[in-house]
Amino acid sequence: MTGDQLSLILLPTNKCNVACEYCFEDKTADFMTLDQLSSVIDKLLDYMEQQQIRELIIYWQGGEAMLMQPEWFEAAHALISEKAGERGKRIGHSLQSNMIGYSRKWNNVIAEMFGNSVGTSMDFPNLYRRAHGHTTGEYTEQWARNIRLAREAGINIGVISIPNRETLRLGGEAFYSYFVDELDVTDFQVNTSFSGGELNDAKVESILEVKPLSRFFVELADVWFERGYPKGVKLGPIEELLNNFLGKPASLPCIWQQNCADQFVSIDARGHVAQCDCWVTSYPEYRFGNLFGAKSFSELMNSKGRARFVDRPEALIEHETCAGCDYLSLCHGGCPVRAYSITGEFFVKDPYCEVYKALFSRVESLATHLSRARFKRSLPVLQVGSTSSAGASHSS
Amino acid sequence: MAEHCIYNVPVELLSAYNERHVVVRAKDPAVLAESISQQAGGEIVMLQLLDINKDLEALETCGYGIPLEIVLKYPQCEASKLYRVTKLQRAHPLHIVIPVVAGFSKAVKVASALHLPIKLEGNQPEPDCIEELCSVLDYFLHNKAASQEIEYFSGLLTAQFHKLPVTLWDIQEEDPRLLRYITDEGKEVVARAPFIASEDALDSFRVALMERVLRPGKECASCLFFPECGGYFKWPDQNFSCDGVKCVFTKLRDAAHELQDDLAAMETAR
Repeated sequence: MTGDQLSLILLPTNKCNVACEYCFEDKTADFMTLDQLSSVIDKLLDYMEQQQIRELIIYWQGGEAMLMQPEWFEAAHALISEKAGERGKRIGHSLQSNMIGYSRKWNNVIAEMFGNSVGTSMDFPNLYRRAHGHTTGEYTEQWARNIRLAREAGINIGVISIPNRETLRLGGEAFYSYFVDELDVTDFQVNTSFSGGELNDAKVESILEVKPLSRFFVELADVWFERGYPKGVKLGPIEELLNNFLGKPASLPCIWQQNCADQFVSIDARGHVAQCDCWVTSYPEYRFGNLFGAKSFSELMNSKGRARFVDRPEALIEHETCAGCDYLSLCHGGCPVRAYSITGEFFVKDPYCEVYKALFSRVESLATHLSRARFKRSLPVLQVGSTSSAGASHSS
Repeated sequence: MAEHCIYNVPVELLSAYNERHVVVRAKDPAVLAESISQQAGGEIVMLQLLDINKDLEALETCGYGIPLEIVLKYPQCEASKLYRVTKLQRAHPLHIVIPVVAGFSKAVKVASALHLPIKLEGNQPEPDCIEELCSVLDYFLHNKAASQEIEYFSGLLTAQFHKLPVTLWDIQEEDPRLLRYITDEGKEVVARAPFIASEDALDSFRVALMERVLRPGKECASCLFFPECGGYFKWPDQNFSCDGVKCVFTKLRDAAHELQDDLAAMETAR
């Protein structure tokens, strides 16, 4: 880890209550017991002490995390807090759930453990999310109902959405309107799909063509900049990119980190450890090992399995065109799991490279436009035409 | 030995400089890490690693807070290795030293993308490197990815902008009055590539150099940029033609003027 923070994507269960056709996880019926969790936390705290890491953030996912009971989370929270307190470490928690199993009984634990926030997912239109034996429409209705209930209870909802072929046909304006105007979502993020695990028709058609996907992102950036940005609507990763180009602190998504291997790790309900949730259930050959069977967490962090991930950005600089790219500082070759799931190769750059470049370029233009507008507003009318923007990156 | 100087010494000779302020250099990270405990009376002001290809683990958890300079030898080939050094930032403020040789821009861009501060080694650039040097300067001035300093550009821009009385010798921290390089054979020389002996005494090195290069008819005598340069590019070869490097000074001066104009306009508006 490069910083004094470790991020863990923890799957307390590999089981899910729905059957989304494009899901990248190969699910199992496994649940983590509190004893197993206790052993995981002990080993993580040992590692943190050894590496002088102060803080651990646990991103609770699944499977579906809400298949564990609220009582299990309460007990887990108490156990983790006690162990962290004894070792002088901080542990924070974040919850990602499909919200299909949400009911009021979750409110206390969401408030106490997760800061009254939940991250969830929905697509527009919903082509693939469904429960067993139900339609996508029924899923969407149930989800919207539960989101409404959660909001009434004061819970902040952040939404992740994955564009599909129909999203691209309908365009950025319709996409934005659905979430912001229709669902009243003010904090959402657009991801692109990972066709991990065993391929099926839905996963194949989830691999979108570069040009229409680029057009969609550029249009969405424009719509958000015009309608959402002035009102404080949060749209990741576009808002973070804008902050970055404006020279403000920005937290970019995992796919664009210098090296995701230095940022986080994932553990599933069977104790398997891998780079992230996209790898841990679906690609056994890419796991770092099993924590339940290992003496220590550092044994797995020093494994050959992890070394491949650590070495990937270096390999991309040597063999790909990344070093010559103006946006290397933002992307670093992109996501390994997308590269692997689409191309079957590991040491290649993300196949959505051109999508990212189109988005970066557009958001950079928006940032320049914003900077110039702010600068001009601060000048007397007669002097506006006499200024120059050369040296801009070091004058702002 | 001069009392006031910092000495850049090879780790093998460190014991001879025990009471001094030193920069310790070595190729092996483990040896460099070990040197930290050896320095008894003086102070290690910086560590200098001469080989990026070695296993860096030893430096990850030692000498917290001591600045670490990593010197590239073949910047084009070693650029990708810079991804390995980022984890050292937890323990050390880092600087990457990049020689201005063909293909060096790749290392500059990668280091910059990783937000690592850069120092361009102040040699006399070959004519075929000048174009690359100017394109790197454009990158520094206009690409938002260049968020960290790239010396000597950053120092020169600051000096031009604030009209500071400093020269490249100060910016590069290579003034022999303040810093000296001890060769592997123990010889005291100018702390700048090619690390060779000077015909002048080190205490009066700069004055002597200035006297020579400012003689009537010499290029420096009529050069607009001498106040910032201080004859830096006339060493070791005083016949080096500065035509190429003057484009660097010109671009930086223009950028400094534009910044001054922009800020003046802002000030007027308030």
